[in-house]
Amino acid sequence: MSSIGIPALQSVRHGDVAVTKIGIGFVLAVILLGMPLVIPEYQTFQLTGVMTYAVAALGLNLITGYVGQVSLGHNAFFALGSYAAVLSVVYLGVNDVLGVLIAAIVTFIAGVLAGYPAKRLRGLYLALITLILAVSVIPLVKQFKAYTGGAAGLMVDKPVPPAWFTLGQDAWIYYMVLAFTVVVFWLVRNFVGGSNGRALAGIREGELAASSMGVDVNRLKVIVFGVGSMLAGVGGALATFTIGFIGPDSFTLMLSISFLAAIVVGGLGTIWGALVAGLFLQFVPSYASDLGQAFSGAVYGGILIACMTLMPNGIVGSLMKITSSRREARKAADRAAAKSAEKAAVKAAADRGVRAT
Amino acid sequence: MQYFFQQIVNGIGDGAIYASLGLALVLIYRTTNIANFAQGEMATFSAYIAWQMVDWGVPLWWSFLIAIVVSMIVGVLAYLLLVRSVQHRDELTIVIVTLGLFLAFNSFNGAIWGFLQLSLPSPFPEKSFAIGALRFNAELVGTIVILIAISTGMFLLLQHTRLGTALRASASNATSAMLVGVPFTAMMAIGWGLAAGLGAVSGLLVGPKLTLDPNMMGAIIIYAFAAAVVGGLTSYRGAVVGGAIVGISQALSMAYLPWLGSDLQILLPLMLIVAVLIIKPEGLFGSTVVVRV
Repeated sequence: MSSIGIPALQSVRHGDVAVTKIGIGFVLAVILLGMPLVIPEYQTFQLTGVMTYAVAALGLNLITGYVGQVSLGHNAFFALGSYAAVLSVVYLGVNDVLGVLIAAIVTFIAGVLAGYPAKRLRGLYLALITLILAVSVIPLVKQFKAYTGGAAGLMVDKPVPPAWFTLGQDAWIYYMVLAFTVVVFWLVRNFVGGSNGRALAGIREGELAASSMGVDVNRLKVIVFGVGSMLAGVGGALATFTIGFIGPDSFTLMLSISFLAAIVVGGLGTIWGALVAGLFLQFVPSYASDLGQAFSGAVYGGILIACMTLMPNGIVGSLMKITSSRREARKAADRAAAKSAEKAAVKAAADRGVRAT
Repeated sequence: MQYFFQQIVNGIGDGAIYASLGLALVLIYRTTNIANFAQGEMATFSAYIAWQMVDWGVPLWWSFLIAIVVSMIVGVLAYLLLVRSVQHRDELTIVIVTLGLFLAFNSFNGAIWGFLQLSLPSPFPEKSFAIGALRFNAELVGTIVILIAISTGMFLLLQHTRLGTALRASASNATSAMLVGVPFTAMMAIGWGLAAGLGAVSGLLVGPKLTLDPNMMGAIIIYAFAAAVVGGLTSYRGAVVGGAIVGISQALSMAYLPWLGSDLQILLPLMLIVAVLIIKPEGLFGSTVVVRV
């Protein structure tokens, strides 16, 4: 801001924003923590589902929204995370939280390995490679039937609350997933908020320009693919513990397309778009399938096309545009005010000068 | 040894089908720079149109002809009504829109014709003949003849006619093409129409071979993409060779690697393609894309 004249006005507004932010955060925390106390168990379970999907959607949004790489293999990492967590609980005897962390490590490594060709391949080719990943899930799960339960799937023990926790199992899982979700969103927000975020935008808008500005494009692409896949794995692991069942039918190519549809609706390249995507993934499929088998595809297809042609920024992106244009308007008003104040000051000084002489 | 060659013959038969859909993908990519993920579902739609005609008592070959023409019209409409408005946007947008089209066609087919399996009669007689110890059935020979006919036709059209030149011109440099008077939108629409027609042919070849249901092309579109990618998505020859590679490797792995199990055998040709892409990202026959700075 060039408002040298009147810094006081600025700082007051900054303070206001900080206070409002803390206030909003506090209210949000109370709502999120209090939710299981007031809503019925089934809705707690649904909200947990929203969060698990949101975590995975955030991963895809990093890959697709922030870097502009089309991945159709998100279902594969979602599945890998789920199986990694379940199998490490069953065979290594670790607890659920540790199982989720193991899933995170496994899917990060797998993501980096898959992302390695991704650094050379842009757009279309990456979409094709990840398409192959997407269709590999079911054959692989069937192949390793002895461990995965094959097409029939496996029942999974849901996390059991300790004795002092009296709100029931669904609420316990809700808090566990909430903790993971908050940490993941906070970490990703910090990651994309700083210089990394600008580097990512640089890659998306023009790789060559970004690399000539000193961004290590390849390294960043691989890391983002790894992190995005890791979030898919964490989301998958959490979703599986929430539902208490794992089977290959939940990890089809359709899941990847749904993730893509959901982040497009939520807003590509926005953090909160992933939350909208979570809501979308939890609630839209069940309503759509009520309409009939043929309609769920029509709903997704229609939404994808309509969003891309009419609302390319998604829900959150569009909202941000509105608020940011408001902010711009306010800044412009500030500038105008500052200018006139400056003018007035200069005039006053000139007047004083005249009087002094 | 005879067994080995028989497997190769069978593989080429399957490969020809992948190649026919792969050619449609290459055609659309060459003329409009779009990878059409909906190509397979559009082909399924064509097969359903043919089934409907047969069901209404139209003679088989007429049904197939009507199906191809209807598909071409639908392809043109899909371009004009949907794809055109996003064409100038980034690759991500276009991929997402064609995925949307994929879902739309898939559920449209299901909504109209249901999810039960229907059977489409084969245009080829149930005969087979032998050359030496190798057996060829009429379906296989017919498929290969059709593939050769359409790829020759496409080559002649694109390389030796004014229309073909105009199509290639608008794909490679839209602005210059428009400056010399090529109607850009019409060319793009024709490209989509031709590709839809080609896709229809492959749908009509697959329909009688498998049973007709809305997800019939699900696996085939992936193999077709794999075939097209071998040619870097830009080479017709590459798509045909790619189709053969995918088909033959599939047949051979089924015959000689039974210990892999049927599930991993599905993946083998795809792994091959991944290897090609990692070693040579522009494909075996593709031209390296040079970006002007």
